[in-house]
Amino acid sequence: MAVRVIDRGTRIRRSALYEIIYLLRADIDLNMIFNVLHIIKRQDDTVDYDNLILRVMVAAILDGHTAGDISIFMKTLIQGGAKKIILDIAGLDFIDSSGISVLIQIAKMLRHVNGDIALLNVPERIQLLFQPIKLNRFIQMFNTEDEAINFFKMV
Amino acid sequence: MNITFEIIKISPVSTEKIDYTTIVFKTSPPQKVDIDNSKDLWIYFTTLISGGARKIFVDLKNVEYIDSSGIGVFINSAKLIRKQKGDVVLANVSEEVKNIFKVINLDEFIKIYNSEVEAINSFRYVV
Repeated sequence: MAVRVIDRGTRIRRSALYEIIYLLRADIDLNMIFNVLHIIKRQDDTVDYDNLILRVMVAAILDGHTAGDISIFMKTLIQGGAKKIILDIAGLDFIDSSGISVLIQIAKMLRHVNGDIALLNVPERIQLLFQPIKLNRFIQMFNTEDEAINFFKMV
Repeated sequence: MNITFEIIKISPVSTEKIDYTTIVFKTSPPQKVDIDNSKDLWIYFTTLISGGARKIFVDLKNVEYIDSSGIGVFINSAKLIRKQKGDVVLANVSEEVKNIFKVINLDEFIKIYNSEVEAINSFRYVV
């Protein structure tokens, strides 16, 4: 009987904890930001995906929920013809396996269309996570935007 | 130009294949949409639409100034998306921008709602 009471107590406490986590999550800005970098400035109306880089800044958390969103967005962009994508993860606080798998999937899809992906501003604690799986051998990572743009001139 | 975007799923069912009829791409452009940055917005819309997006909701809460090239982007993307049975919807239009839209009767071509909830609800029944 005593065990059951303790059990129920911890269960309640745990659900309360989840509630707090979800409340905190609501405070964190889960919006992502998109902008375009031009390798060559052109004035005409055609969109030449070889000469422009799409830069996407991800939200603070890249877990099961948000990874699905970013994969939908990226897949739509790639189907629409995008070739060169920079993923700015300066504000990333947390990433889990589903987030990393989305990164790898996007890289594979882009290399199919002769494009590539680069990661920008990887925080140190996230770098520690990437080290054991040697993600830097598969996806290029840069610290400044200029380096990344130079890399894409070669692709 | 920083375009903030968010993905809203209307139906909770998630499958391996992406079902664009249940996904709304929420987009909010920055304060000023003019000739300098409207091309970036056009690249964003045209890439998403040719990629298969069918429901785009543009939240104009930040926009204080918009010029003809910015309006042209909305009209062109509405034309493009209606070819694949989708739609573009605007909401949270500020008073200044509303005055600009009134002159050209934009609300006869693109639906303009007062709040985000109404805009998302309007997508619920569009197939």
